[in-house]
Amino acid sequence: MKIASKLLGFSLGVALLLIAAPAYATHYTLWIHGRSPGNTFNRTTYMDFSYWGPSSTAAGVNKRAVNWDGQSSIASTNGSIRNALDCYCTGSNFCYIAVHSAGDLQIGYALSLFGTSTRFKRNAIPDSSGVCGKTDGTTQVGWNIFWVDVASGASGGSELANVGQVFTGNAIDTDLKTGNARALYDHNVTNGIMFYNFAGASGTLYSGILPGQDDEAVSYHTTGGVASTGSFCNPGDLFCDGTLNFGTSATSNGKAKWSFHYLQFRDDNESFNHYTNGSWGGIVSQVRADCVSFGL
Amino acid sequence: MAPAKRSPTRSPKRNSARSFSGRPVTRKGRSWLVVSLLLIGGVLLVLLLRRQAPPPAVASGEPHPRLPELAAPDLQGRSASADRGNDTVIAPDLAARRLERAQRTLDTYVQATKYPPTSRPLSEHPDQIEPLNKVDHRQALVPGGQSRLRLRYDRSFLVGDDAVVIRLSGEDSVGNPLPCEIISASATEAPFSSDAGKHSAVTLSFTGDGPGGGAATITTRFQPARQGFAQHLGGIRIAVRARIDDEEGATSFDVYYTPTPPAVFTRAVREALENGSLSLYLGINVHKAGHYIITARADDTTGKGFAYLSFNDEVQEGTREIPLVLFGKLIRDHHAGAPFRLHDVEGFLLKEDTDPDRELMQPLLDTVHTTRAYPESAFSDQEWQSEQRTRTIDEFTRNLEDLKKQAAAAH
Repeated sequence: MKIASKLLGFSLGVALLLIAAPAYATHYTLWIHGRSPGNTFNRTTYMDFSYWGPSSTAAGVNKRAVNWDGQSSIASTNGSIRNALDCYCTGSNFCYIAVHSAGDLQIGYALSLFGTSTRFKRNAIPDSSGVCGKTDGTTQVGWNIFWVDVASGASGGSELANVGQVFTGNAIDTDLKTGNARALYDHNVTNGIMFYNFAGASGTLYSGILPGQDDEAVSYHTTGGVASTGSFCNPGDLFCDGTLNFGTSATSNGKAKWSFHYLQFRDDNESFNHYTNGSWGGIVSQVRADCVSFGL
Repeated sequence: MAPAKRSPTRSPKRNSARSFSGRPVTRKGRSWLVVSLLLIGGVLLVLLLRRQAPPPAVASGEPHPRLPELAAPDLQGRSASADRGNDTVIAPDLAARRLERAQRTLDTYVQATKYPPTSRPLSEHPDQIEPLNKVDHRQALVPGGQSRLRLRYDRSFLVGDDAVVIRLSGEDSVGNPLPCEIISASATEAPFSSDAGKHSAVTLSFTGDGPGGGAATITTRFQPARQGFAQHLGGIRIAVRARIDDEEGATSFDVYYTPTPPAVFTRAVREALENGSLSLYLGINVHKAGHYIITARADDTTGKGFAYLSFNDEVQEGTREIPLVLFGKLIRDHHAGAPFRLHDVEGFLLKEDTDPDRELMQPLLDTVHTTRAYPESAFSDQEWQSEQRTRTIDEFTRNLEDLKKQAAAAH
């Protein structure tokens, strides 16, 4: 009985220690892809990185692939994005987010319109439908996110969608028209989460349609997070409305960026295009490197 | 596949409710022994895995280590990444850059959340200072061409009998005006909408304000309710084929239409000084219950806009009040003098996981309410606090402290 009593006392002490110990978070890196009509990516395991490149490639701590159909509208598919955020970015878990192209619209829509909604805390263990179990039935407001890395973000739309080139034939292409993309939600509402923009400039094929610097799919006005359309370029480029400046600074002609949007990478050497090329390529290579360096 | 490990803080097995209930009394002592051993194991696990906790197992795929993945990143172009304004500055080492990022993450968040999400500086919304999402956009008419089509329309969102004024003009690559001529223009339901293809395209007639066949600016007024879209909810596609100088090309854009609003602002406003902030309760008659997003702007007594207010929550059917809050610290920090003017109120019913995803309310595009006068001292200068803010700042701070230790160890 004495032994049992001592064990009980010791157990209580240990329990107190456990309670006093800080509840450290597990960190995840969620990758949200862009337009990809007809894709067959697995949408429930969060481990299919087919869009990006080999899954063995380092891409931030505990990387997870948040896959959607890549062709339907943002409004009709955003529930799956929010579901993934619930899975990995609630409770004691915190996330880094990396997005490409229309993935920028997906995370922006989720944070702007649902970033202060009440979410169940979930356990990061997806079931066969990709939904994670509840931890203890309690809820929290919003998601736990450090920052968002944006590779060639398309949340400001593309002129290619405006004129019906390349981005045509799918519902997502309607969202990608410049006017629609910019009116879909208030891009300045991120709930204090910083968006780090990575802008590529190696585009040539559609330079006649895309204003300023482009990566063959989208222009600097969107990839640089500028709150208005226009032709924005690298320093020294002629015939542009202005230079796309680093950080949160406005363009050289005074066009403001969306709030909480920070230009982290500008492609002064015109080396990076829009495409992953199945190997984490193009501008995504820069975001991947950033996630490896800072997604800890 | 590596063996599955669980975070010490979230093991689904630990502290299972079933372990503590429903067992026969005679087995209680044995239960405590088991619990004690589990707890001791738990402590050891906590000590071993502090800050390096791998994630819980997933349905398939490998767990990844919590430690930084130090595979050498592609550094091509990195100089531009590290240099924000001066190409001659050498990038600091990785530990220092991690510290910088973590510090900025924390500082930005703390600064951003000193006001609540519903009461923000107007300057924080550079493209929302004016309502209705006006558009002024230039783009090439033909690939590689010398001319640009300038497209302006005074609203993206229309409700009921609203009309949009669309202006088109031509210019050269440096902005000099060029004659512009419309070859064809039409409106139809946006593709992929539920009504797509229901009606044939409606021809739009533009008129020019310049001399000759090619005017400098051509204009049309489009009113969906009277031009074939009285029952259409969602996007309406405006397609234009134009000629500028000797270049001809096409473009299209959408406006968004709601025939019957799901709720109506009553224009009644009740104001109340509450907890050091000024709450403006906006009357609303809700025909369809649901998730509403309401936004408004506020000016100070000098007419300077300083606040962007919002509401984002569920609203029940019937006559209700929407709280729009001028947060005390926002007023104090901007030295905004009362009376305040509430104006340009917009709103919509947000519908989840469907397209179209919203039904628009008729906006109030003028002064909706002017408050009483208050001394600045009536308002609190306390920062906003919430569980979400505390939770996030705690983790960002913890992350920063860990990186400081890593940086110190690296030297």
